[in-house]
Amino acid sequence: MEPEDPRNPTWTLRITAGADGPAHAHARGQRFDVGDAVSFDEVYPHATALEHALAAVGAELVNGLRALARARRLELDAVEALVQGTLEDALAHLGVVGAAGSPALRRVHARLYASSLEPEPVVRELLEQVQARAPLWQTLRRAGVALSAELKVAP
Amino acid sequence: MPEDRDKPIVVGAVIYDPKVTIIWGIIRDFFERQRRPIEVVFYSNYGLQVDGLVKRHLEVAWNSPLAWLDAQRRTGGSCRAVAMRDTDRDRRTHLVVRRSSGIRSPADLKGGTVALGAKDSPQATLIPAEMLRASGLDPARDVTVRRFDVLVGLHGDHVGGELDAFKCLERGEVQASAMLDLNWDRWSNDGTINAAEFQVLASTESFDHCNFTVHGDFPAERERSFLQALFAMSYGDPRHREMMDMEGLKAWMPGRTTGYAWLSRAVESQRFWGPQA
Repeated sequence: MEPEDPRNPTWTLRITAGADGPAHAHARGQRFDVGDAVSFDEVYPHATALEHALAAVGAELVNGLRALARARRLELDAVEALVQGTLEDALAHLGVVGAAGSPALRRVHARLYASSLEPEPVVRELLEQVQARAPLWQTLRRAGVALSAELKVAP
Repeated sequence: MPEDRDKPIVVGAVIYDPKVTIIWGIIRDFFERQRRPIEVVFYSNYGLQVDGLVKRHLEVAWNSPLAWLDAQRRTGGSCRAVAMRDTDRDRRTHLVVRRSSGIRSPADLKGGTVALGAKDSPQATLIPAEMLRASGLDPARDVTVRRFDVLVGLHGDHVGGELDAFKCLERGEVQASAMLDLNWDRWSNDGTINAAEFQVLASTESFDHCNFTVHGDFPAERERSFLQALFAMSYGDPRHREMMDMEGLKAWMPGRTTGYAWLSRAVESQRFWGPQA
């Protein structure tokens, strides 16, 4: 095993699952539950792995915007992201006979609402930098997922 | 040799929407509690499901009426329909027109255009086309058919074709559209159709819809235990009601095949299976 490059650390999570219920993920001192890979049931009681992934993409953007704005001493009161993801072939995930596609993500769209007194082009430029630095956003882009983001800025 | 009740009965179902798997999961759990386990195999279209039945990958198939006829055609008529929903019995398709159109009978549609659903939809295409023929109109000559082939292969399970056909009527592009009676009722009630503007011109004879299909030699003991569990579902039991509402029935009934005559005539006259059929 190669020695770890201190500039590029590896993150390790432990995920456990019992006979039933969600998986439990342990990361450092944190613990969170993750449900099935995907659910089509509106009342399924756990956030799915796909929802966690989409939430993570959205969190990269909103947390990244907030952090970068703070670093640049720009005013950003609140920011919210609505993230939508679509699979290439959801039936493939279900193992449906005849579903010939892939269950991979086909597209992810993020709609961001920022409350700021800064001019919109300034916030937009911030978002571009956040996207360029966001590991998941860049990974999805490299994987060929159709990624898009729109930004609305209001005081 | 006594039946091994632990060996699941393999049941096929076609999925037109991933959400359909939820109801099948509930049904599978219900059968489990009845100590009659089933394994549900999902198919993306009825052609593949009938293949699965014919090749005996499946023991029971939840078949559309057209898939039932296909299974019969491909097994020399040896399949049996063992159960169906109460709501699968005595359905009708309505031909809907604008009240202000002046159209009073199907014969008035001569020279006009009729919007139908997907080409393999019994209720939205095959049977209403047969009704036009029975009314003295040749769908190939006397009327123009505008078809809405939404998700072909699902035999009209997806109501998109019927809805698109009606929207076409609503836009004034055709003189009539076809839809299942249940959809007319639902869409009239939920405001999709303004019943003050549209009316039922004519309705087909009654026909039956889906059924659970098995091979003729499906072991009697497995069939008995399957049906025993199925018929144990009771709308009067609050624990079963949600499941039955999702599946759109109030009671499971024995299967019958007398309600497929119109569809049988339709596929024959429209040469649905092709010239070799």
